[in-house]
Amino acid sequence: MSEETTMNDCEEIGWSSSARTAATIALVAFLFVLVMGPLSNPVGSRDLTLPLGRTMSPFYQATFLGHGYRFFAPDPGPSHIVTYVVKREDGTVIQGSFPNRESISPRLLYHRWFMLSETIYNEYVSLYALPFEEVDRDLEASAEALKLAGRFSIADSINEERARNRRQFDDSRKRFDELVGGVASWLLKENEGVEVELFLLERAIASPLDVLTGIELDDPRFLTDPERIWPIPPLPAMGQIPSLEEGPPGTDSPLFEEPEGFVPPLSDPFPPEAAADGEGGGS
Amino acid sequence: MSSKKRRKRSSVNPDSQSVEDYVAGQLNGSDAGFIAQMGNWMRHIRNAWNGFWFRKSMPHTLGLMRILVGSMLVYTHVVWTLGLSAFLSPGGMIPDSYRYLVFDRSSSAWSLLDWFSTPGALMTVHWVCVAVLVMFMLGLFTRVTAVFSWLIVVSYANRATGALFGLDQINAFLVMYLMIGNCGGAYSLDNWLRKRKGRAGESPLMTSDVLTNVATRLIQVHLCIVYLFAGTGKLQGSTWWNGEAIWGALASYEYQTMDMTWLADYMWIVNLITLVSITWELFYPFLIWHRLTRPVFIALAVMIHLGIGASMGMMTFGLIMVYANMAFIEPATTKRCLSYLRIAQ
Repeated sequence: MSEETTMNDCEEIGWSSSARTAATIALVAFLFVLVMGPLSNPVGSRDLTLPLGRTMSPFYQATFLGHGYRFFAPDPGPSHIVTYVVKREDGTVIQGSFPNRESISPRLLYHRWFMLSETIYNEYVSLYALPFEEVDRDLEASAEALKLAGRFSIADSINEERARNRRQFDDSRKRFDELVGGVASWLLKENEGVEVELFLLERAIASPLDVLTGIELDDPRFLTDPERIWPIPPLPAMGQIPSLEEGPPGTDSPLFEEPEGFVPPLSDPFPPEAAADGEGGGS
Repeated sequence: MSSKKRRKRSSVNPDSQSVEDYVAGQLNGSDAGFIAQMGNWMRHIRNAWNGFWFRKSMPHTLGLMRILVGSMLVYTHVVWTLGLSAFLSPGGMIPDSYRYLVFDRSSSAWSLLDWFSTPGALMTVHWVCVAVLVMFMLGLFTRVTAVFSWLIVVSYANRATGALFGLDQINAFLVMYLMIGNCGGAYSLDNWLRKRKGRAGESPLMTSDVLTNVATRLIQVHLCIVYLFAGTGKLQGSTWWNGEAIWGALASYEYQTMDMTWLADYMWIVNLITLVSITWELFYPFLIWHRLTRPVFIALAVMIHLGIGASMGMMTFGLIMVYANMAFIEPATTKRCLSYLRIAQ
């Protein structure tokens, strides 16, 4: 649309004045809702955009709008793989993984499986990587101290936040159970199994130096130890928040053993110093 | 210039007031002049707004976009056939209980597929949906099939939550806006049939109208929002600053389809592509509107999206972004190009 045409051809403008006014109101409201989506998802301000985003969420859900659009942001990260072991009644064992470049095609279908493994990872992180109990205990202590100081309204708002956090944590746990349980049930049904175990692995990105020294991108050294995610592992005790490398207590690694003569990847593709430099030089 | 003279000039051409006049009016301290200047300024804004949204527009660009977006919708949903039992059936990997929790216990995330619980019924409905999408792509009963296509896209997306990515998001908003505009007015079977029958008294489909312009503008604005947040989100990442982000994308084993690791020998190229990508994304929402910079930004969009699509196995996403960018091509240009290529109108 050229600017000349837009600005000069007034006779081209359609609709009556009242229709344009009504449409303007609708458009401004819609654009506000549209912008509020990425302003509240995946992160937003607690007292402004997040509550507004929550209010608009029925509209977002009904129209499949309101996404964050943070493609490959803040950084392209490691990918995540789900492996499974299905045992059949006759004792045979079926092993597999997703996403699997060799066995899943076309590429779009492969990407669906890839996104599923990433969603499972995100649910895993939201459940296991947040120090919920620790935060809750700190908030409880703050609320008690404020009550003793006679500042009841602030103490009440802190307790409300605790209740909200508790609900979110419980929801995270339920979501993880339902999703991983759904995948496990489907794998059992598809493979006619009686028992299934699921594991989550993370693959680091090879650095240029790794590639130059001849290490392949699918080298097992880039994989973390598998973390059992089904049957659901117990939640970690307070102060023992695991990473994928450490894993929650009570899990083992029957599928992938560290290869003999293990040598760690030559270098971290994105070393922490680089990140610190980047942030420090932002001014 | 006195306020009297200024008022006289305003009465001759009220829209000719500039920002300088407005500021001068303020500095002169004349309340009446100030109010008049404000009125003129508001008129400027109103005219610009009306020119932007409510100008009539021909349907050629939206017609071409309907074919391209429609073909992507058909492909996307045909591929869903292979994942129907895994991702979309009630007994699949994504249980209703999970969706219920993801959508915060809301029933707003509707899906037509929820009405069909048996595998046979689901498969039948699925192929009906594909048929509707084919009709939309071809421009048959477009006004109706566009609405159903949007319902289908949202239904599948809300059903397969957890297995979605950018393609689904862009598909959904493009078909929603195409539904608003007269996307069947050009390059469609509807138009062809109307011409062939030559019914007297019927208005031709290929006419300019306001809704076509509104739909085009909404696609353009939505695309700018996508790029703005994609770009600003990247500013938080250190690898977009140190120029290694594109390496992280190219060297991801799960994404890789084309071996681009030879770039490890030429990291300056990776750094350059990274910086060009983030600069392009950040400035797109502002410079795409100017006719001098628009061709550059559209050319970069095509190169970057197709490059990512080819090397990272996301050709569907790359193509749908290129299709979305076509909203910035004027209908007259689309018509000229397709006429040149001898594609029937």
